Amino acid sequence: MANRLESCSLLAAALVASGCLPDFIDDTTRVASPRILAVRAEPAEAKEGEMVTLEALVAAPPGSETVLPAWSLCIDRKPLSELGPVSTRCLAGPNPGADIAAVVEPGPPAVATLPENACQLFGPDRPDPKPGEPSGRPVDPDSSGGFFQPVLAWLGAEPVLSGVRLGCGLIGAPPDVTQSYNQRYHPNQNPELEPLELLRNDGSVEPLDESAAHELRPSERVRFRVKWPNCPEEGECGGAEQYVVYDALSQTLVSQRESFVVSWYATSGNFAEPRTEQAFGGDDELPGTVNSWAAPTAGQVDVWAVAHDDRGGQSWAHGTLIISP
Amino acid sequence: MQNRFFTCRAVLAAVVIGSLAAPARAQQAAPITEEAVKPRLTKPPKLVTFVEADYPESEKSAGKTAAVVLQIGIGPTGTVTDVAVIESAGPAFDAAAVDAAKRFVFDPAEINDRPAAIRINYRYQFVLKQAEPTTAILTGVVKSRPKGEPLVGVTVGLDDGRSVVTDQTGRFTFPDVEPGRHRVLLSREDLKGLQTQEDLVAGQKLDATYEIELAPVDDGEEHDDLEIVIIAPKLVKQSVSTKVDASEGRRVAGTQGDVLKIVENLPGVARASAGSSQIVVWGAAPEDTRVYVDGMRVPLLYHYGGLRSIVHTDLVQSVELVPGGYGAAYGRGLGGLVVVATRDPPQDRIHGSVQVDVMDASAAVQGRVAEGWGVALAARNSHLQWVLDNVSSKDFDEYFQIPHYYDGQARIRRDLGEGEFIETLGLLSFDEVARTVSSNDPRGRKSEKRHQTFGRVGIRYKKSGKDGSVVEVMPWYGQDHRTLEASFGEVPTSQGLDTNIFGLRARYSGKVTDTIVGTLGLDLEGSATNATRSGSTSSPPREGDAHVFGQPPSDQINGDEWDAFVGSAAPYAELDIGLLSDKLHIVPGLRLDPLFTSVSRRQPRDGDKPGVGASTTDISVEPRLAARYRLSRRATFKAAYGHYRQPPLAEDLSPVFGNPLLGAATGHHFLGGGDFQLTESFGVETTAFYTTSSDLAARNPIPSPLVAEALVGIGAGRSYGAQFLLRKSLKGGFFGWIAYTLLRAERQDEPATPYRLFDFDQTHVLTALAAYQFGKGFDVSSRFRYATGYPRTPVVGSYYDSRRDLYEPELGPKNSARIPDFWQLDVRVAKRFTFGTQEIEAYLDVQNVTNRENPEEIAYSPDYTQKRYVYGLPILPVLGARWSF
Repeated sequence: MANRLESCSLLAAALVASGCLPDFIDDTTRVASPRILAVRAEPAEAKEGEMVTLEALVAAPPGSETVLPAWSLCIDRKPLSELGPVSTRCLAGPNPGADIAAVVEPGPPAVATLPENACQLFGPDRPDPKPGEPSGRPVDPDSSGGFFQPVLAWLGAEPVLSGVRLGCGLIGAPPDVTQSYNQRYHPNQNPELEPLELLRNDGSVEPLDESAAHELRPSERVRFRVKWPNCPEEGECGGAEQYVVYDALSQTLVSQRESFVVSWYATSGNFAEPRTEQAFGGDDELPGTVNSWAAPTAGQVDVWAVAHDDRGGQSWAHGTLIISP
Repeated sequence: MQNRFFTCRAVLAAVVIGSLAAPARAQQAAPITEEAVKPRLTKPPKLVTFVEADYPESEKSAGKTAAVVLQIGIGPTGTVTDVAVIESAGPAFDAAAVDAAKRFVFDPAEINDRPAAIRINYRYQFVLKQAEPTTAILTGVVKSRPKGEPLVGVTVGLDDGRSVVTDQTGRFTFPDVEPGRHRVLLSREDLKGLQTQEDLVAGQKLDATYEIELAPVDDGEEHDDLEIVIIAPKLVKQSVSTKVDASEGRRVAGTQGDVLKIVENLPGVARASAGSSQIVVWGAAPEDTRVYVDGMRVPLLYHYGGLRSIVHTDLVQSVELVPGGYGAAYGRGLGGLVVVATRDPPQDRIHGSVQVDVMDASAAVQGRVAEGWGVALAARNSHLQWVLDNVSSKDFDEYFQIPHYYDGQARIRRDLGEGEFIETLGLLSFDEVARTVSSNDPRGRKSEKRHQTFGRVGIRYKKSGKDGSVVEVMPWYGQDHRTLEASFGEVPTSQGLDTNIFGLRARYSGKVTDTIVGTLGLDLEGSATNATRSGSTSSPPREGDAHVFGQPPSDQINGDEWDAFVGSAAPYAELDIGLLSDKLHIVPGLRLDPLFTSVSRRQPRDGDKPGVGASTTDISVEPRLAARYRLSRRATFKAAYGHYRQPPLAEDLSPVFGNPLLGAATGHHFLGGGDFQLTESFGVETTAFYTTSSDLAARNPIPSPLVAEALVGIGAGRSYGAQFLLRKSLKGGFFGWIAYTLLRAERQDEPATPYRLFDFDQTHVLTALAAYQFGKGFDVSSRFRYATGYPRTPVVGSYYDSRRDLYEPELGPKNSARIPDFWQLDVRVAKRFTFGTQEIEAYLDVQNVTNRENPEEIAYSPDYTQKRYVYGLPILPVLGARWSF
């Protein structure tokens, strides 16, 4: 799929500032070789010292060998002068050293135990002070108020970063806000996706499951649809959950609903968009999103829709198509 | 006082057609009807050759204007047959007007479609017009030393061969002196001779005072025959500075007639990226260079986008760039100085202008409003957005940040006596720029909105004594307001700063001894800021951050609000010591700079615990030393050293995002060079420099920093190089220069680590510009620029972050790559039309005439596997017009 940035046009009048952006063809939706598209931790949110199960979505063109990733838990706290999401020392390899990363047995399933001091390394707990010095600076949360234990999945020497959301509680807020937070906050759940659906131009809808072969004509244009549950105002749910986040500036709790972004991948063909967000859904209708896709000329095609919620939860749906004349 | 040069212009006023004079011819044969014989003017006469009258000298020197109404007889061939005066303006004007009108040539009138004789009334107006001055006036008084009595009969000689003798009051005058440096020799039989040197500027009058000793008694001892004395304490020149007069600056290509944009073309200044309003001097960060307008510090010199400066061109007298090594009168900056001086309101009458081009419209008016009162007002407002909206249907906001700005200046001056005045100055500036990138991909949505407003008001009192002493006091006050709201995908950034700033500059300069001029002064400044910040901890990026263009900011966020006060009251002293018969000047200076910093919270907010503030106080002794040695009239050598320091920025004093206890950064400047005047109007200046800085605020490099220490003062910097300026002063309608800077600027992010290139390092910067007046109001100028590309950190790989669903770059050594070099040619053509006291100038300023694609940034594909250049502005013609009166 081509993701094009529209090029600028020349004008006789004065034009200002940054000038013209170049065109790029974004083919990140194409799975041309084995790739890790997503990493799911179960539970999606865990406390320090708890065990989590790690699962990677390893996508590959049809006929490829099954590849299992290697795993590592980064335990190296990155300095503020590094602006990336993880310490660069943890990216050196699957086994960079015991003081940098803890190796996780690949399984399957890969089961990792979060460090006992994860909330100090990557969360709001202040690092222990050295003698004569005040305590250290806590890590800053993301916009969902979350802190994450970095997890790296490796295919050979290529890492894919993910994170397990840490249940560290709320630190630094007024007591009444903390109490309210403890009462109202519930841990994140991974998205629960309905089966991927194929929407044909004749209006028919086919769930992409293993029960039937799904055939398309060469270059046929169709749409894919994925849905997720409707979530109540309170409580845990596999859809867009309502949750509270602490705003440091106002020192208040803000209630917000998760947003879902679905990334689309295929072993061939072209998507209209690399990512889509919720496009429909209401009281009586499951929320979901759609994306258009143009089939290739022939062959088997695998399609994946990976849903990300904004608290780090990930899940996916998969389908297989046959392109035949 | 400004010299005035007068030329006359005649203005065609109302032309009244008089009675018809052609006799009718007798006709034979066919009967003639009443309608057929009635003469009818079918075509009026048209003046095709106008003759400019010689302005009567007596009237010109008296500053008189007049209008003479003539009756002109025009024959059927268009020649003038007779001229008579109907309304007289005096014999001199009448004679001049009649003489000129007799030589007019007309396209003849037609009566009943046939050329015919006619009489018309014609108003010939004599108007005095102020033309661009090309010479200077040197005047002064010669006195005896030590009694100070005026000396009569002293021969004052100029190096152009002229000489005059002082009158009964000891005064002398040289009108119409070529601008530049001149040697002045004073002599009389019974007096010791005196030789000195004066720098004269076109359009200015220099009033000098010289004191001569009695000749020595013949006591058998040897005495010097010639003494060099500088009496009037001159402005202590900075050791290296480039000063540009407004008359030159307005004509340079690429400036759109904005004088202050000339700073970009001076040696020592790096080329700013397209659309940037930053000034980078000798490798110093933009915020390290201080900008002053009439003694008041302002936060920026150019509006957003770098299109215009914040002061109307008509109000600018001069702009001086001091890239480093400045004297004790200024401080609180590790970089350079930009000092803008606005012009005194003219004393003859009201002058004004209106200018419009595709970017903005502006107006200015200034002049004398009453005896001893002068006023100057100016305003500008941009309309580029409106122009683009009406020219094209494209939503340019999505691809370009279109700035919106306006500014205003006011100055009211009251002359209190000779050399004494008091005035009130006001400045206002507004900038806003916004851009939104919409996308179906939620990760691809971006928006940014920046806004900056500031205002200043000051009162200045100045008294210049006849002995050359100067007393000047200027208190001022201002408010700054700056906001940033941005989002990149789901990551927000928000920042707001509200500052009340005040200052006081006071100085006394006077003669300490015959060879020493001293200055005592006080430079006080304080700012109280209320700051808020929330959103990404890595946005906006800091100098030295390892990131690439277009990279999403970190999604780690926080929020804080704090108050900060930064103040210092720096007394300073400076001496200008003349030695070796005034050939050598040593200027030692000392500045005592106590700094007081106070913040509302020492630690981040913790629950509902009350915040505890923090304050720091320290004092710095900042020596300055400069030396100038005049080897000859054409060669001067210079050197300077200075110790400087710069207080922390209020936005860096947050306990969450910065460090409330950040101290001042310090630096040292070393420079040396020479000025060589090859001819009277052609000179070369060279300067080598080395600067260091330490205790710069940098992101904390340790994995577990202490609370409230996100920034620490462990950074260091250094820059070294040389700059060259080959300059041709305005003479014969031509001026220009070639400025070249060779520079290396480096930073060290933490101790014991290698230096890396500064984000704004540019190894070579070359600017060549030339401007020529062809006459008949035609001006042409061109500018060629070449600059090394900025350093950038290369991308050596990437990895996928599945939690954020985006790719992160893996970076190579910081700033180890460069954007390709930049070069560009700009041309400006202007034509002035003069109508009496009014003038209309039309100009076309074309930037990048060759339409070269200059890379300005490196952009990457979302997975960082592809890279392409982002190019700057294409050919950019700016058509404008200016009406002045």
